Amino acid sequence: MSQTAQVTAKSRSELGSRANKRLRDAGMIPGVIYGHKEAVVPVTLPRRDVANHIDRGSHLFDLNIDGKSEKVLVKEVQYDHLGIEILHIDFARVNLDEKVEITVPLELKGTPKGEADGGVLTQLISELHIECLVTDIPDIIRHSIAEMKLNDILHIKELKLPTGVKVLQDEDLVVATVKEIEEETEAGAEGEAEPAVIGEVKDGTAAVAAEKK
Amino acid sequence: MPMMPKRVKFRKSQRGKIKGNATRGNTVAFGEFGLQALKPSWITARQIEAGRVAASHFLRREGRLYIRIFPHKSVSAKPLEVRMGSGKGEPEFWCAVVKPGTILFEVGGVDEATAKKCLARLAFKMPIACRFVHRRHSVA
Repeated sequence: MSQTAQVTAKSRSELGSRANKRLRDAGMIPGVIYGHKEAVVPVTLPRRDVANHIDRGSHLFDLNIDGKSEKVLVKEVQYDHLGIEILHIDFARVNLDEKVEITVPLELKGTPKGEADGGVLTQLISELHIECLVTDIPDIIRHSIAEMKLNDILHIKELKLPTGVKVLQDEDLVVATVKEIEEETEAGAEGEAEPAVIGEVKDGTAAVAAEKK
Repeated sequence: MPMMPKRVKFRKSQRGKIKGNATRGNTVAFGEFGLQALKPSWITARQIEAGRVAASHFLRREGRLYIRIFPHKSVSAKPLEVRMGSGKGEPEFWCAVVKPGTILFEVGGVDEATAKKCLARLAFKMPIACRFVHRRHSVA
């Protein structure tokens, strides 16, 4: 089960992109807290603390805002174009006895038997959309694939989930396959040297077609 | 055979400018590891093909390589020793327009050390600085 991350936040009065840029330059992250039909509160958080917790996969935060403690769930994290720096973070207020919808990583453990026969494991789903109590949110869902043979397919319904966790996705979705990779045919790949132009008809037939009209 | 579109609306295109950073295609989506562009550039179909060959020779049949960019843009050129004027030259090659942050290639089905080696070889074939990235899991 994921641990609650303790972070000190400050409410912020200055809004807008320029004020947020100044905050980011000072090593802080702008964020916002909403939910439970209460007022929306813009906040400022220390970047290093938040980034550490987010990198470790923390979902639940205990924010200390100007001396008041509030339990919140991460709703959205915005990154820069390289995916390095956190630009903004959204939190939703939450009660510990509440059921929430959340995305958790899915890790496939072990080496499938089929790899010895020339198969390659392809993981098609690496995150699961689940519903569970706030206190039961798993850090990660692990599933052993050591028994998968060549041409085996793993579906969502075959996953062993922790107690109290319900998957919200279609249970027939394919999670992983072990299949041989088809050799790319280098010979015969010679196609046309130039792409066809849409609307252009070759060898003067365009003129004929135009005359008929 | 380098990649190119099968059908196009116009054979020749204007040069354009590469402005800003990638806001789409900047996260690892199919494999577990990726190669991310750090600079803006045109990446030619030949360079993409060279990268693909380098990576697939290294991986053999172990893992899976995903190419995340496609050369949609034609670049025209005039033949040698031809005077200026008389219209735009003929399409010479095709290229992908890449903004900083774009994921160029992805690798799946291999461990991190193998993926790193594979994408390092691939990065040598690219005309720009690139970095190795992991898939990032959502916490929301």
